[in-house]
Amino acid sequence: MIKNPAPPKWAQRFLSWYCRPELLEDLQGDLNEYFNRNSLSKGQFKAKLIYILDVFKFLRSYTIRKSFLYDPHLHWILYKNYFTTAQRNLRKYKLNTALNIAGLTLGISCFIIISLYVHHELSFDKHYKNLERIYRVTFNFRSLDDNQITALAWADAPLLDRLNEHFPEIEAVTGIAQIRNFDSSSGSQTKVKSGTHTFIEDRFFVADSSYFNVFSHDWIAGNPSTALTRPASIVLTQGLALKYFQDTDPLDKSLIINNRNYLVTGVIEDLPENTDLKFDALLSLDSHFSDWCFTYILFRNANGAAGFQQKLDTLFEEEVRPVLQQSNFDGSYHLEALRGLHFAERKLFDPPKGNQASLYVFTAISLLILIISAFNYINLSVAQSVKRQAEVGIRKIFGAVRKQIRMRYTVESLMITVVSIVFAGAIVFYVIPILKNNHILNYSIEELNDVSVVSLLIAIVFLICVTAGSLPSYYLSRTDPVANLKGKTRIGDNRSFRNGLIIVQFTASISLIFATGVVYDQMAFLLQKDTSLEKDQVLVVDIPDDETLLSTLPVLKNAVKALAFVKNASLVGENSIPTSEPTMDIFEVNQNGKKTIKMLNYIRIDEDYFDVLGLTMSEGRKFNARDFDSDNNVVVVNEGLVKLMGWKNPLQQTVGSKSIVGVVRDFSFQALQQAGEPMMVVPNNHLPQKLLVKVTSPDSKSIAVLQNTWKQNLKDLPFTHRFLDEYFSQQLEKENTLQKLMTWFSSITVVIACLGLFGLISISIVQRMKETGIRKIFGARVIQLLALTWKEYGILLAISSIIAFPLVFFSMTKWLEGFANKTSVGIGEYFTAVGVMVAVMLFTLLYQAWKLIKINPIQSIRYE
Amino acid sequence: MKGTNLGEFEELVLLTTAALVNEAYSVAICDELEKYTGRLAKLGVVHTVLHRLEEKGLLKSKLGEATNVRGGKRKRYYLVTNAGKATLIKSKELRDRLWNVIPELALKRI
Repeated sequence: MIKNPAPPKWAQRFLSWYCRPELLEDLQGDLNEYFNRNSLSKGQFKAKLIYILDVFKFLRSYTIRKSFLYDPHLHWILYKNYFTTAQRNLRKYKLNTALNIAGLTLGISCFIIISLYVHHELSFDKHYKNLERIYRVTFNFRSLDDNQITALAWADAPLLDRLNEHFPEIEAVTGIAQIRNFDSSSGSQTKVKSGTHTFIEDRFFVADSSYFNVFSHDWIAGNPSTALTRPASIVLTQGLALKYFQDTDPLDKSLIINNRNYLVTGVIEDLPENTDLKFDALLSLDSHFSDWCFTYILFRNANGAAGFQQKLDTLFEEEVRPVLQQSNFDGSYHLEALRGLHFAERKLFDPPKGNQASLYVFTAISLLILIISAFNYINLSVAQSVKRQAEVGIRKIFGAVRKQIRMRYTVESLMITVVSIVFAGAIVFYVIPILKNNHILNYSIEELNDVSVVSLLIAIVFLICVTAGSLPSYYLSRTDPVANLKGKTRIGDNRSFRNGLIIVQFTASISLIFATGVVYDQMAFLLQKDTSLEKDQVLVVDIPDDETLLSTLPVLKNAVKALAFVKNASLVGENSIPTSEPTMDIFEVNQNGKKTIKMLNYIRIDEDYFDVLGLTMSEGRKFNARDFDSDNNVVVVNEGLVKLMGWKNPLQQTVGSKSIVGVVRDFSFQALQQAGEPMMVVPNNHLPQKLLVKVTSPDSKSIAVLQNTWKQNLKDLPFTHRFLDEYFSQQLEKENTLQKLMTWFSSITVVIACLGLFGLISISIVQRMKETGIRKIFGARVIQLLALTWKEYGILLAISSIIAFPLVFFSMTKWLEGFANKTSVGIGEYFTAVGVMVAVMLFTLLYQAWKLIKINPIQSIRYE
Repeated sequence: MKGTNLGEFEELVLLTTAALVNEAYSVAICDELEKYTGRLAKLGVVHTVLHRLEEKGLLKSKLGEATNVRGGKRKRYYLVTNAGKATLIKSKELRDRLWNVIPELALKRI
């Protein structure tokens, strides 16, 4: 059976929505008739199209329902009156108004600050024009012995050419790598000489000539298509160009980078905050990458990536697998879209990334705070509305309909909302730069330039606040005017509703304080309770990358050791101070009695390293001076490695060609890592990267003396230093941010809840004036009167505490599971949280007590 | 006065309605207009004009019976009111009078 064609449903619905009822039926009929005709002569699709167009064409002044344009119940003249009375009302109850505005302002500013942060996190890499077409290829190693997979953020360099040759759907391929990748004797630090000044830079990258074909940047000077084509060219970001050349034109100037002369061929805008791969300068490539690099593909069109993973798999099987299998490895390529990269799994050597889970948590908390402050507002206005019933009664008697009563109160909440938004805006402008400077939330006030985001936020805030404020009017507008005038309506009688809101507030406050306590506990645990390593009073001095220093550095080290306040000093090699990513290499080892090839982490150090960091040996010996001779083939392993290999007599084993001379007790090399990650320690005879100095008094005087010693030996080379525990707390930055934010959030919820409680109690004092007077006359003491209120809110607090406990317990246990070293969720924090709330309540009750004392029973009985 | 003046298209619609007698409803009027004038009569335009004529009191309307063609919706039939008839006659007379005034010569020269 052929189905009868019908016009689009939504268009029909739209027509009947806007059309005046008396015209509707005929119009519908006409359009139907035309539709039937058209679907026979022109086909269904065209008929539908014409129908839709016609529906819109009939949107004329004479067809539209009148009520859209004009509501006879809401005469415009009354609006002026609504504004006047609202204003008077707000002025009359100053305390109430102030509490409402304060609570809402806090809630709104929190909400906006967090939402902007979320927006910032979601905007990562969006500024690249080709975002939808850019993909990254990464490589996963899999050891054939134990199937352990290592996910690298890089891909092998030969892949670049293979991708370029074999795949027509690819428009461009580019490789980019931080400088340390190809020049293995240095760290990521780069020495730059401009004229007579020397600078140490961190974020210098090498990129091949097609980089700017893939990634779009804003150019200030130079030509993107030729900037990186010649060897020894460099493209600077604007900030760096200013730093090196001040106001002069940087183009074609020369810079000496790691003892090689480079020519500036371009200047681009500084990279925005919201990109993961941040660099300050790009150096051109001499010929091709030697081993690994970040590999990006630009497809010709957005769906070029579909099915490309299979092609990568095939490519891997044909070209790479045979080579890898010789060394007992397997692996695979992975294609990742740039647009999702910020929240993707963090791979080895990836720059720091976003965390989607914490983003959800923040969003939830910010909404929670906004809603709590809205609840406050609702509670206060409901309680307050009792006082307004006379006004409502009179308005009704003069003929006001419900709609008008509601409008009257909507106008009032509108006023409060607008004032709160203005205040909140001021706070946001003031607070964002502070947060940025303290590295709590890394985004700038420019985020507010996005009009659509700001208007969306304000719309949400408006909706929530205005709804909250006008909610009581729904009660008020329903009441009986005569009862209103006699003051007999008890709107506040809707206790369960109000108590429900209070319980939500209390629960949120307790939960947030509790959770903050757990976060603090965990941070303290991570930073202090790790005794495997002495990281206090250890100074880390950066050593410039300069091979000529190789002979001077031991002299410097001895000079430093000779200083009175220095306990010991150690020169360490690349990536070898705690918190860095250790070097990885493959070694032939004897695992459980079988010869296999393993990928192992190792650090390169000198003989004093153990003493500086307070590491102890469980077996064998530390390094001695002889181990540093040219054919050094000794190694110290940690207990974790011994355990992994199942060695009974580790001192008789070898790693590759190196013989094991000692076993060091497990220590936490990284802040979030469990002590006991398998690793090796080898003597360093390359250029050291850092100088570790264990001092007795870490004050500015000893640092000045140290700097002086440095100057005597290394002349004008820059002296930069930090303490080792700073490296550790930096590694905990994400958790630090969480801790600080949680503190803020919980204090703000407590303040808001406190404001609400305060308001409610002050209103209930007024409402119970008469009752209190009678009780007083019958001899009640203040403490007994207080007990009445205390009982009422105490029950609510008890319920909230009971609800909050499992909520926080389970979610925080879940959070703690992400750490290797963890505390447990403490009961102490729970009681602290409840204690804080009890204190807040007692504080508000004090206010009440003071009021109760002042009540004169005679007057209060007369109170009507 | 607004009610007595007719635009050219308004007059055409009014005439067509009168010509169709009891069968005058929007779609039929459109079809008839197309047939006689040879120009495309848009439903939206005709509808607006019918509405305006009804407001001026030259037409009156009532709902008819439901038919299948229109998805079960009733048609709105238009009838020319006495005022409408008078306006039509008046505008015809006006034209006739003017026609009579034009000298034969002048017409031939055109």
